[in-house]
Amino acid sequence: MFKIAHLYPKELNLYGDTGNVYYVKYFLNKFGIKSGIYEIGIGDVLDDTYDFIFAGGGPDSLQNKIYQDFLTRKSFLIKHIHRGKPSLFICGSYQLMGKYYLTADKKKIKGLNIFDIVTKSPPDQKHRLVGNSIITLNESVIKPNYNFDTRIIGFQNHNGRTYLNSKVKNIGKSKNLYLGNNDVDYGEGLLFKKTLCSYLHGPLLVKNPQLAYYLLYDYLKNKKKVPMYNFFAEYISHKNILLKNES
Amino acid sequence: MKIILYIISYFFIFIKILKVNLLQWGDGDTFAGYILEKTQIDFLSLFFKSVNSNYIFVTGTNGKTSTVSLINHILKSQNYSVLSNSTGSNLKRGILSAFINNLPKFYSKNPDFCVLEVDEASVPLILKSFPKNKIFSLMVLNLSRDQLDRYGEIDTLVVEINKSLKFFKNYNLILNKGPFFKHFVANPILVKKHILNNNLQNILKIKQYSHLSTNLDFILTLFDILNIKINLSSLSEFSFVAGRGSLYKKNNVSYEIHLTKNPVSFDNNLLYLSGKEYENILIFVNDNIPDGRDVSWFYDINYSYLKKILKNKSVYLAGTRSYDFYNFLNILNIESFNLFNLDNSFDFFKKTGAKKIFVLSNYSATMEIVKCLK
Repeated sequence: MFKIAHLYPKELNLYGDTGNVYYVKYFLNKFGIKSGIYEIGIGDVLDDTYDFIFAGGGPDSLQNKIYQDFLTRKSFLIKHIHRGKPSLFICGSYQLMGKYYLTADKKKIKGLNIFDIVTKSPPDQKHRLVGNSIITLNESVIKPNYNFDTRIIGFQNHNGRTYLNSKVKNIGKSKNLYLGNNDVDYGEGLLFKKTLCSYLHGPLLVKNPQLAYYLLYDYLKNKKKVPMYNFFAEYISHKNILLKNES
Repeated sequence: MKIILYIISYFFIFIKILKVNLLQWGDGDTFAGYILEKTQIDFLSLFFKSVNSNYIFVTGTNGKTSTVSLINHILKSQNYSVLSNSTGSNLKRGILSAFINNLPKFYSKNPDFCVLEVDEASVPLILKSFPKNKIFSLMVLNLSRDQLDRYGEIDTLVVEINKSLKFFKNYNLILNKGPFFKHFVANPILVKKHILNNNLQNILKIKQYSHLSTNLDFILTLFDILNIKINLSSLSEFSFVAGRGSLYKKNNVSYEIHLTKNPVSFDNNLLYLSGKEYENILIFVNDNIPDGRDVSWFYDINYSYLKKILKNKSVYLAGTRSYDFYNFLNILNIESFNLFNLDNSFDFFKKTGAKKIFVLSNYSATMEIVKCLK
């Protein structure tokens, strides 16, 4: 049984992020692999029996609520990530994977320091980075080995600007300078082994099954499952959104 | 100033007649507001200053249009004059248009009440133009996750509404004791279950789980503040705005339309549906500007309700984002059939001899289907 840990689903669930864990379950089922979704709340046990970790983003008030508990998960997360096990962190949880988050009133909130990144929030809330994003995948880090679009799509809405140390790789380049990790470079998200961090909210993996494929590829290979799957329905939806955002 | 505003109103009414009747370009409802919004002049502030009235602003995620239309009905039935944007155009341009389209009616006498529906994200903008020495009532019916692309996080929205209220000394802020209550400015008027609520629900035939059952307490609290008694007998003549459970017939097929524009309204309509006989459900979802371009909210619908209530039903999909809904249901192992658009849907239901269709549609989809069925 493939175990999917969904961290803080009650607090970090800003906009359809939950769809990602259901898609992992659905995706594996297509290969005949049974999986279970386990909701991990504040104080719940999180051990190395989990195969996939997911955490989303939430409103500031709820992120504050889980903050202390999330910090206690550091050693487990480092082990999981460095072993090359798949995980996905969206928006708020992505920001907390870095060194710190500098709030608009210059308060420094310590992160888990798993990745060499920092996030800073400008004083003016009016300049949130909001909109539909098209990201061209960084082919040096993701090489889709099947016939699928190398662009991913998603929707983002955040105030914090995340800056990656030059050694940290992003997922790809945003079409729009004002969307992505920040408003000074075109990079979006972060990729390390089989861990993806992104600002793209909602059912990211459903909208972009190539990311689910990338995250689960090694697992499928180990299980000697032929990594082939017909993404037709997801593909049509993906194309539809791409066309709308390009027009 | 007032005379200039009247001249502008007459000018736009003339343009509207020309545009709609002669050129047949759209309904022209918000055209005037659209043009005035483009100018550098704060016309909204001028209207607010010139029109002396009891101002009532109604905002919230669900039930604004129905609440405004019920308030208007109660006031009018007691011979009060009302200026309102009752068609549901609740952005700045809709409110501007309401003044333009209605001002000539109030040439000699100000309206007794201005009842304005305001989009949640537009509240700070509207209050910015409102004279700081005038009194108003603001009803915040409820706040839940809606279009993330326009509203951002609800926390941020509450902060912005609070900031704009700080410029006023005299106002009635009417709130329910929900999760965001404590974040609002001090001393709001708290809505409580009103003794007349059940009577009103029965007279108005309000469906179970509807937001309107809670919103009735807001209306009753407002009328207590205004010291106006509600004439219950007048309510039997009230009918809700199209799309709030309205029934239509086409090719011998009945359609019951329910506006379903965010996870909360979807969940409520699913609960309502659970006790009904409907076999066929049409989920009709678009991503036009009034709906929001991002439809990730599907994934915030209660999954267990969906699985339980849609089980053993025939689920059909249509609209510009029907593919996304298809994927969503597919992931939850709920079978559905994509009919893509309304024409296909009407043909399909006619051919299959379906008797009743329960339609869950978001904003622009509701407008589209009601227009076709009327």
